[in-house]
Formats: sequence, structure tokens, C-alpha cells
Amino acid sequence: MDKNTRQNEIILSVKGVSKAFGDTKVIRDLSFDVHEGEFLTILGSSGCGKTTLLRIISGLEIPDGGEIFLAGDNITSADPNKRDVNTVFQNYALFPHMNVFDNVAYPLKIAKNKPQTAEIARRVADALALVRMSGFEKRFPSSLSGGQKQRVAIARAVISAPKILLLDEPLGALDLNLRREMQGELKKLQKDLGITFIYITHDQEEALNMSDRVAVMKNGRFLQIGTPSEIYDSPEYVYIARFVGDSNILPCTYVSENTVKFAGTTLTVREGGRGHTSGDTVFVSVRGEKITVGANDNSSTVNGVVDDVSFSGGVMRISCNVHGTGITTLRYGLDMSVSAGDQLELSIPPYAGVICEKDEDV
Amino acid sequence: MKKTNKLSAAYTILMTALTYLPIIVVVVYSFNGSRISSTWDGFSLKWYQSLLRDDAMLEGLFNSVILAFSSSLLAAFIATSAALTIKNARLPMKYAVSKMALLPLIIPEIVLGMVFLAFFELLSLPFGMLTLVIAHTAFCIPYIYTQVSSRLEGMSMVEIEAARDLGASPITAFFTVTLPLIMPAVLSGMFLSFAMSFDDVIISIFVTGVRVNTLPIIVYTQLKTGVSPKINALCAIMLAVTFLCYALAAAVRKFADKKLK
Repeated sequence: MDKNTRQNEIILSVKGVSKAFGDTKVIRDLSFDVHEGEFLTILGSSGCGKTTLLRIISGLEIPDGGEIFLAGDNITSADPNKRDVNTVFQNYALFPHMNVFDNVAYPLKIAKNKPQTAEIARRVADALALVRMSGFEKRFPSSLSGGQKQRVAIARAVISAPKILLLDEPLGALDLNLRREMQGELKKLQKDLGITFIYITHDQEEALNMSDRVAVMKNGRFLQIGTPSEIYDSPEYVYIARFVGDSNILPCTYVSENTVKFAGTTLTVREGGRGHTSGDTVFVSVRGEKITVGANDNSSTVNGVVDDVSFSGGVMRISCNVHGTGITTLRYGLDMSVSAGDQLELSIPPYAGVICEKDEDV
Repeated sequence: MKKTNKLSAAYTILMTALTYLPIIVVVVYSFNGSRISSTWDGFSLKWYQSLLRDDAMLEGLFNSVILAFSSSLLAAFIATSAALTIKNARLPMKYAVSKMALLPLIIPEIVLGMVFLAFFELLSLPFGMLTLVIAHTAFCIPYIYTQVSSRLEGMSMVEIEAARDLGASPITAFFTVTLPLIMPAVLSGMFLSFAMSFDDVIISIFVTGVRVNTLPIIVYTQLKTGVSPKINALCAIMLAVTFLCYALAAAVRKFADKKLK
């Protein structure tokens, strides 16, 4: 957990929440805390339960069990309009019969203590300026592009200054360039507003780029929750290692603490937090960019045959076969001539790999 | 290819002529100066003028408008609440229930008329405007129900959830989001209902009392004494009202499709 978030108070506490639709358990006994001002991303493939979790937090679904606390108050069964939590929906959900101004002003206009007209106008102007949509007040949603709708939806969700903003794959419908641009903007917006963001996505790049912490979700549970670098460098599960970034999964035999054997070579690795006994089969995740080509004094060396070489954006990907296991190494710059069928020596530095668990039973 | 095109063109012309020629004839002859329908004696508005001077006709028009307006308004309330309830309900027989709302469209009008007659007699309701409104409301419901429920079907509920999420109570969300979004469907259904009620004769004859006549009933009873040019003028007016209603219904739907999607 990073220092920055640990200092802040807990704003949202989810305790043992579960939810089933018919016989399908969508959320299984899930507990976690979110800190004030934090950017938490819930990362998972479709069907992992992340949208349901968001709907439970917003009040659009009521959990079957467990409790939810917002700033200390139990809101488990409170109506969605009674929660100081707003959502940016996946498909924006702008009101098609209202123009941009009325859409953004909506939360203020329906509020119990409705501000005065001039105050509403001022706050709408501020919110639109924040998302760089000033001048679009009179336009209707049907005449806006996807990116513009997205900005209006964000302005509408933040205008009433909620304690938490929930974002349900808000960039999912945008093209790649716009998505990259919006990632930066969202991150900046979150810092400027100081509002806690809970962001869900299936895009690992988004998750690693924007978040203070990332929770990797599968089958209604969090497999791991931690900073992007913890998730990236020390995945606790094979699933996470594969899901986040380029990873090589090496089937190894456990020897002793920090020592495993792979294809006859002894590797020095990091422990994954769970005990193993000598002779166990364990899986070690090594990031492609940590593996280097050629022998190296400190590193363990394995021999492989090149299967395939590809290039993308200045990065060279060399896929090798090492005693039946595929290992991919990433090399920056195109300074090497290598082709399929070549014999290669690959070096795995000490502590580059981490033991991770199989997750079939989770 | 050529041959089929010609054939289908001929067919289209024939069908159109069969459908619209009688209508055109009636409209044209409503402007006939002659008293005898078969001879054309120059353009005249005198039949329209004589309609305006006919108190029974004016009363019939008044009755028809009141009846069509109040029954489509009542039907709008009932059909819209039904469509909303059935959409949100978790009923085991949801499909059957939603189809049941359409039954009045299939049941022969003469049967409906009979059923209403027997029913109102059983309740010993006074036959007249009240019974007319109840019966017309009943057969207008499906027209509005189909419009509203198909609109609800095509609408994602996410806008309503967004309203709730942004702080709206269920009632506020209904009036600020749901209702404006289904309003075009309600209106277009109401225009259709108005047209259906305005030209209904069969059910009306069964359920009205001796003193309350609607325009279609007047047309029907006067036909017994032969087609007068005055009836042509009346039919032309009724046609115009009906077309206007359909046009308005279509216009509202088109507006909604363009603006609200």
C-alpha cells in the first residue's frame, strides 16, 4: 500500500459482501477498504463481477449479505439517491431529452436544498470548464461525439461533489488515442478534485497507468490488491501474471527458500507468501523484459531455440522454446540479428521471478 | 424483370385506386353544388355551411370530440401505467399478461359491443356519455399500450438508474426522466386512440343511450334515408380529422426517434 493513501481516512469499507443472481454467485464474501482521495481500479475480465460490485456500492443492487460503510455510515440498504456516491456509466447514460446544461445541472436541480439559479449556472460553467466542454451548453447529447458525451457525463457526476465517484469502464467505447488522452485527463481531474475514484476496467494498461491501487478481480473475489508495481512485479497468482503485462510462467520444482529448479537450472526467486516444501511443483512468473539474451555472471542461464521474432514500437520480442516451456524476452532497440531456429542463451537474474499460485481453486 | 415490374406497378395502381378512389369521390362530391350526387354542378361549400347550421350535427361533433378526448386521455393513464408495471414486474406469465392487453384489438367489435351492453346493464349504469367513455377507453388502451411498451422495450433503463444515482427519488426520476422519454409514445398512442374513438360506430351504437349521438352514429342512421351530399361533407370532415391524427402520431414518433436516440 502506498504511503500517500495510508495516511488518509477510510472513506468506504466493504465487509463480507456477497451477491448471487439465481444460482450464480457473482460476488463472494468480498471485503476491502478504500481511502479518501484514492484512485482504486478494479481490474478483471468480463463476468468477474466488477460491474455488480460497482452497482452494489452505488445502491442500484442490494447485496445478499455483508455490509457497506460510507464515511462511517452503514449504507448497505440505503437507496441510490441517499448515497453520496455518483456513477459515470459505461454508455454515459446522458438524458437524451435535456441539453448539456440541463444534464449537468440535473443533480443540483433535483437536490433537496436546490441552489439558486445563478449558483447553478456558475457551478455548471465550472464543471464544464473542468472537462473542457464550455460552449456546449445548448447542444443535445445526440449531437455529441463519444468523447464529448463522456466529458459531459463526468461533469454531471462531479457537480454535486460526491464523496466517491464510480467509473464503469468509462473509456471502453472510445478509440485508442482518445482513450490514452482521457486516461491522463481523468488522473489529473481526480487529483484536482480530490474525490475518491473507484474505476473498473478490463484494460490492464489503464489500470496500471492511472491507479494508486489495483484490485485484480476474478469470480467475484479480489485475488490481489496492491499498488500497480506490486501487482506488476509480484503477482500472487498465475492468473494475474498472465493478465497484467507480458509474463513468462515457468513450471519449477521447489528446492528451498528462494530457490527453485527450472529445466535443470537453479533459479533464485522471490517467495510468493505461501509456504512450499521441497519437491513441490511451483510456478514462477518472470517478466519478459527482465530476461536477457546471452550469458551473464550473476544470472542463471538456460538454453533455448528461437520460435519467433517480432517487432513493435521499438521493442523486439523473441519467443523461445526452453525444454518445452515458451519463454518470451523483450529487448529494447533492434540491435540484434536473430531468427527462428537459432540457439540462444537466456539469462534470468536472481530475484527476477516470483512464485505464484495456481488459482483454479479460488 | 421488366415484366414483373410492370405487373407489380399495375397491381399497385389498382390497389391504390380501389382504396382511395371511393374516398376521393366522397371528398370531391362534398363540394358539389348539386343536390343529386350523380351530377356535378360546380364547386360549392354549401353542404359544409348547412352542416354548421345543423344543431344535431354540431351536438354530435361536440359529443364525438369530448368522447374521443376523454377516452384517449383515460386510456393513456391506464395503458401507460400498465406498460410500466408489466415492464418492471417479475411475473411468471409476463408474456401472456402483456399480450392480454392487446385482446380488444382482436375481439370482433360486435362482440365487444354486446359484452359492454350486457355488462353495463348488469351494473345498471345509465347509458349515455359515461358508458361511451368506459367502452371507448377500453378499446383505446391497446393502441397506447403497444406504443408505450415498444418504446420502453427500446429504451435502456440506464438513464433512469443514472437519475436515481444522481440523487433523484423514484418519483422525481419518473417525472424528470421516464415520463419525458416515453411521452412521445404516449402522445402518438393518444392520437391513434382519438382517431379510433372518433370514427367508431359499432361499439358506440351498443352502449349509447337514446339521447347521446356521436358523429359516426349520425352518419350511420342518416344513411338509411340515402346518401345526401351533406353526409359527404361530414365524411370529408371525419376523414380530415382521422388523417390529421395519424399524421400527428407519425410526426411525434419520428421526432422521438430522431431526438431521443
